[in-house]
Amino acid sequence: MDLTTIFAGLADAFTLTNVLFIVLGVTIGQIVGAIPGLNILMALAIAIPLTYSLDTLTALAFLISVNKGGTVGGAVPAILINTPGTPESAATTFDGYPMAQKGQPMKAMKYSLYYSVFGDVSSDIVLITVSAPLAMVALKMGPVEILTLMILAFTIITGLVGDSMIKGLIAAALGFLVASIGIDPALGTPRFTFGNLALYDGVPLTAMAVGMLAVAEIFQKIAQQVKGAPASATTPSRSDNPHDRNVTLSELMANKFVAFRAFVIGTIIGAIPGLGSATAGFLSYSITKQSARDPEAFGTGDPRGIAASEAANSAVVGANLIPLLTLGIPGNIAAALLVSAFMIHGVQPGPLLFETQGRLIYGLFGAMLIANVGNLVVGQFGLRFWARVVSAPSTVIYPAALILCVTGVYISAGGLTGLLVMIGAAVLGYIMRIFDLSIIAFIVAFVLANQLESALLKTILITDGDFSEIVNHPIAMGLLVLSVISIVWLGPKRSKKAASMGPSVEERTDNGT
Amino acid sequence: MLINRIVGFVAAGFGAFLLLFAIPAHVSNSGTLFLNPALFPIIAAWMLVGLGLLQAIVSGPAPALPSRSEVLRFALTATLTGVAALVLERFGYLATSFALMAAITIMIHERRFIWAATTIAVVPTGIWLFFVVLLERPLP
Repeated sequence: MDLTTIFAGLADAFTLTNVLFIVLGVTIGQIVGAIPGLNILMALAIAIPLTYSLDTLTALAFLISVNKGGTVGGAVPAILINTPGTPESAATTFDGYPMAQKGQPMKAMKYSLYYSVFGDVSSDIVLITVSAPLAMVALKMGPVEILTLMILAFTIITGLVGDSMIKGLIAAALGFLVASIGIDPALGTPRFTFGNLALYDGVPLTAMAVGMLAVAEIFQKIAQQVKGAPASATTPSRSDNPHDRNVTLSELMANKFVAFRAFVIGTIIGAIPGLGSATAGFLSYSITKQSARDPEAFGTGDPRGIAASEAANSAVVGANLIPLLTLGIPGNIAAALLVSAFMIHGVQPGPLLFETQGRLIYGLFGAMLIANVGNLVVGQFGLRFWARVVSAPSTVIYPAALILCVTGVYISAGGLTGLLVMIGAAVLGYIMRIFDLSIIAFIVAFVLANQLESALLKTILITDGDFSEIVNHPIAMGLLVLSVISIVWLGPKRSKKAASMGPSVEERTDNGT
Repeated sequence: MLINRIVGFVAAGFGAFLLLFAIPAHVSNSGTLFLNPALFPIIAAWMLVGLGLLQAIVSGPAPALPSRSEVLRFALTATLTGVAALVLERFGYLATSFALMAAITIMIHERRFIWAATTIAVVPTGIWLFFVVLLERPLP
């Protein structure tokens, strides 16, 4: 790719419209993240319909900014009321809340903001550096290799998410089934449309995503409202001492190695499909505590704990775009929702993006870097205000979120049909949550099904229906062997662990609990 | 344990239903063995049968089930939203939204006037203004 395209793309991100939408996205993300019970995925699912009328780059920049803002905002209630606004910030409660209890809530929030932005910027730089070369490698793969790569991705995702690989694969099968509704890619005949013309284009992804991720949780939260329950939380009192409200550069630099290690952990975890920010935060916190000379200091308001959690969970945001942009495989639900945003604007994620839409991708990279600055600036001035939304009554928040979902889906996903799909998806999502069937596996399967079916059909044509021909494709064979290894290694290990430990962090994240 | 076995049997039963009834009735089975519109749904259905039976055998730790009242309230919320969706085009966006928000406000026991008024009137009106006036997207 020539430098002209790269610079033109980066310059595209700096238009006034894009910068304004980035700042708006970051602000919305921080506010939503700060409200306990709402999470980034709900914000993303609700925000997607709002981007229909926007330019492709503006829409993607806005959504990624919402995602980035959410990781910062999620730490606010984690620090103030010991309740993570988003699951990603759960590990931040361990030291953030004790620091706030000592009369330093603003200091704790600033620590969290600065380390979060550091982790985010660093992982974005890794994404920008490695994605183009990786995409070039991916372009050398044919349909057989792509098919086996997807099989590997599913075995990893279902093995790592939740407590049971079998249940993960059942959820993926359901995702494939729902995605097969509509016109088939082989002969163009309708499948499971029941004579309804609105279903010929398939189940609308936006309605499905909003229903499963946002509305299912909103319905559940409304159902859990108990008469007489407290409507708002109390936040800790603040000190008037400037030292207790500000963080100096030397205080930040004192934890530079902790933050760097957290960024490395977050980036690696983010690049692996199926693992998420919550895992990165907990793993980084755990390693930092275990390797410290004074582990007993953790849990008492130690800034190293905040650095370990926040730098790691924010580093995931950039890194989880690596498999999406290089292979077309969304590593988590946030990335899957971004796929739907790409598709809405007629862009197919994958390695070809760098050849066909190079300018757009570098524009996106530019927007991500601007969003990091936006996160810092908006957070610097907004944290004290976001602290107030922590106390907003849930009796207003959930109905408001519901009517926003209904309106967004009605406008963007085909009117009444879209609404009925959304409600059906919400019910399905609730049932799946009850029985620990992974929503992540379902959504990723739903998003990837068309690509998988297309790769399967091409493989059948290439091999003439003789799957033993795959031995003539060494990369595909290697990927299949890795799939078998991941099944053997991850399947029983997760089940055994689940039997002894109960629900995993990732599954609790998946369930939004 | 028992719940997981039931989940497994239900998944396997659903897969069998798809293979025996739903796919033959609602998917064209033309084409060759492999270039067949039914191939992908058949693969998904067989996955459900195989994995469902495996789940029934392996079982594993049982998930924590929600209370009956939570399930009923969830169903009530979904039904209210469904009814609102069905009458949205007949009665218009604002009237339907006001009614839905009022029903949910009663359901969640919000009795404080300022918050109830915000939920029932201010939020739907604000969203209507945002979409119709600011984004110029028509609503019924």
